[in-house]
Amino acid sequence: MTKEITITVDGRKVKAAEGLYLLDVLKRNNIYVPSLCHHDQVHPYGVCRICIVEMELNGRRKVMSSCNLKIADGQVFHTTSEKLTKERKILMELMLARSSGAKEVIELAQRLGVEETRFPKEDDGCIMCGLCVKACEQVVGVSAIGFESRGPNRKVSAPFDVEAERCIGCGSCVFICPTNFIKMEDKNHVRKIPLWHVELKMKQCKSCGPDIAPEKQLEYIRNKVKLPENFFDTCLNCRP
Amino acid sequence: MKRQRLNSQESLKKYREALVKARDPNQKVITVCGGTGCIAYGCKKVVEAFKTELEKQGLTDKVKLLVTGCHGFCERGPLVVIRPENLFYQRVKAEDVPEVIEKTVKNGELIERLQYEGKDKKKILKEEDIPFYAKQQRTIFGFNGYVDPKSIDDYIAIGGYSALPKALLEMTSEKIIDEVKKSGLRGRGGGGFLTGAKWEICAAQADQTKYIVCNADEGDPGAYMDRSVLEGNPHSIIEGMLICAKAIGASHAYVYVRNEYPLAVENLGIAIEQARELGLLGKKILGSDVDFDITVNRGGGAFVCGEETALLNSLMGKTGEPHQKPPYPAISGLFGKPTIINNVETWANVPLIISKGSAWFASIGTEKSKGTKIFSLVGKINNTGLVEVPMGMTLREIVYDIGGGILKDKKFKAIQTGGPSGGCLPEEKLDLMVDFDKLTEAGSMMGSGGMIVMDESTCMVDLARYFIDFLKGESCGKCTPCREGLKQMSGILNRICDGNGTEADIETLKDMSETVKDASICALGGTAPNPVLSTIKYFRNEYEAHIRDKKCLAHTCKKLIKFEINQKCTGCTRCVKTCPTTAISGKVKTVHNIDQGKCIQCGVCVDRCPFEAIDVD
Repeated sequence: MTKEITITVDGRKVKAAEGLYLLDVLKRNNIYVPSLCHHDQVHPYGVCRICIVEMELNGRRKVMSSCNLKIADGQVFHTTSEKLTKERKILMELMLARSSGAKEVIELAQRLGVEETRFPKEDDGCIMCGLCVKACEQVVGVSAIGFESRGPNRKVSAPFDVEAERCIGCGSCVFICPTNFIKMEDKNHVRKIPLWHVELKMKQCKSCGPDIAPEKQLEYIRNKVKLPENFFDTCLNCRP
Repeated sequence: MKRQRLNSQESLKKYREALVKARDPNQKVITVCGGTGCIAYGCKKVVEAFKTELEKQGLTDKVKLLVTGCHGFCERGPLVVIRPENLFYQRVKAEDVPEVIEKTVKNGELIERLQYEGKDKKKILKEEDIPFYAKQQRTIFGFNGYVDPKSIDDYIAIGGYSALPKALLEMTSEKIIDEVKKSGLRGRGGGGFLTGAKWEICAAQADQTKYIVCNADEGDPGAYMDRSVLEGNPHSIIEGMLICAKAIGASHAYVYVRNEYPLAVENLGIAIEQARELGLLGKKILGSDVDFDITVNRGGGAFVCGEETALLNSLMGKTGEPHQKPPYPAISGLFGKPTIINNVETWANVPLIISKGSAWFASIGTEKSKGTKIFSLVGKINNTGLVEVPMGMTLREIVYDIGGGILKDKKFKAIQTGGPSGGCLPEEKLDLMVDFDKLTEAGSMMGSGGMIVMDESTCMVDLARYFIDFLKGESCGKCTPCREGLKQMSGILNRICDGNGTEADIETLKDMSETVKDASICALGGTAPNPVLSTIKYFRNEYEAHIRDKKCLAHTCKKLIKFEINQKCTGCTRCVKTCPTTAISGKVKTVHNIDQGKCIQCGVCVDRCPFEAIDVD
């Protein structure tokens, strides 16, 4: 059984189970801290840094991200200080500069009071949250994509930026991407994800005809849960 | 020769006694520094020449040739020291060797041209009297000059592995940790965390499996103290880790060393093999219940892997990128197990603390920074090299007394301490006592111990730009503030250096610096803005000159300088011939002219002109 502990947030006592992530606890207690790269389905990666809070430590305050911070008894946090407000705004300016056209970035920036960025604007679209990479690894279990290069040159990519051989075309990366950066197209019985240089043949329902899903994805599922060979011959609707 | 396993304190004692007995303290030893600096100067040829000459003269029995690790005075390499007298020869070439043997070794005559000359033009006889060495306190680094790094016997003969039996057989884990705590030793890798306190946290973890890691991924440009300790005295690191193994209950260690340090990898590998042969690594070491072994792992070349969490990720085969602390490695580190990760120099201090006692160690240094620290003194300084000084020595003493002052007697401008992400301290801070806290208070840091000295010809804005560009490229790119923040700061600094800065830029840089420092995941981003913040703090006038007057006070920012030929020009045409862009024209014996549209400010003409006829504005 997990122990119930008490932490202090902005002067308010909050009870929660030990070892939970601070951001989750804050959300449950209706304490708003902005976040961008956080998603319930993957382990927190803690990279956008928008969810920063201040933790009291040896008489000082240390700035830390809350999404990947496991709470312990007696910890004292501040979520709304002037310093944090200022630093979150600068982080939003940086993200706006990188991806000036991304709707989610613009909306969060506005919510935090940032209308413009001081820096030269680019329109990359990707905010380097890494959710696609993490979902592919942790949710799908395929690890078809990863990060490439370092520093400002870092990007999400298929290995060596050629066709992602392990990609099964499930589209989880497309679904989870918060800025709609990853595009996917189903046309002429082929699924294309250009960012990973992937083109996969779709399987059609033997009974009613339309595409079900990429053949590779269905094979992956069939092998994983040991389904009979003809299991995906028909779509859900046509199954007896 | 296969060595016998030493399975008790007594057997180690006997082994040492036999070694000492077999060695004549008056033995003539020719010591050649075989450190990386001296190798670059060609010491290998000197060693070969000594070998040949000693054989030729039939002296191989009487005179011992000892190739050691780095002595520290790299500026004057290749270094040769003749013991037991400690006669010091510098810049020795292979051609000098027959004369050294004939005159000095055989007949005790000195060769003046190879001797060090003091400021008063007098020759200095002995190694320890040279000003560079005289003010140092070489408790760790001093051993380098006396041991062959490839010989465990040399290390044992000078008293090495004497802390080991004490720790393994006479002290409890608590006692060891207590000693290290009381010594006040703080992590030499830059963090400055109390080593004993870290060990205590790790020892208290219930987990049965614990790991020890030696961080030898020294990446700061110009810093090479860890390299030189590993190359020159690898057994001191092994002994330090062995003591920690007993203290925290670990049985395996990893040394994560840069692949660019082949000699360190080689010497460490030999040292581990020899320690295994003698049973100082393996099962039931010296009859105690401690089992311990070491694996060497070579790094892949990423600067960020010097950061401990990134290093551990890399060691586990993952991408070398850091994560937020907590969890601290002492609680959850390598493979999720409690892990003590310390830097090379920290490990080298441990055996000394155990054998000489915490009180001895704590008697050196300042109130909160104990012991000595090795610095790599580089840049515009006369005596480039590695120096080991007690904490609390002033920067002035290091720069002027040990370092011998600024090259070509130019004016001191700043010293950057702590590597690329350290701050730059101006002349008025020269009397600052060097310790962890004083450096941090002044806006710089101890870091791993890099010291780069700059003279008046260095533009501080350009310097900040250079280091931010370096760190931008070395950022792993995982978190927004470091990846995007350094990119934007680099953009602003480059703009200022190009003469396109605006009044708002200084404040933007300061804002950005605070955010990058606070919000970054690891210490790379956490310290990266130091060069910017410290140069704004101490050299704000240079920023303003670039922005307002479009002037670079040090005359180095190319877009802000102009070359013009004055009336001293004799029309010798040398500049015309060297100018790579044919920007200079003029008839022979008449004053020349530079076409500003073609000039690329390379400065070749200034170097070439014998008449000081080219002005830089």
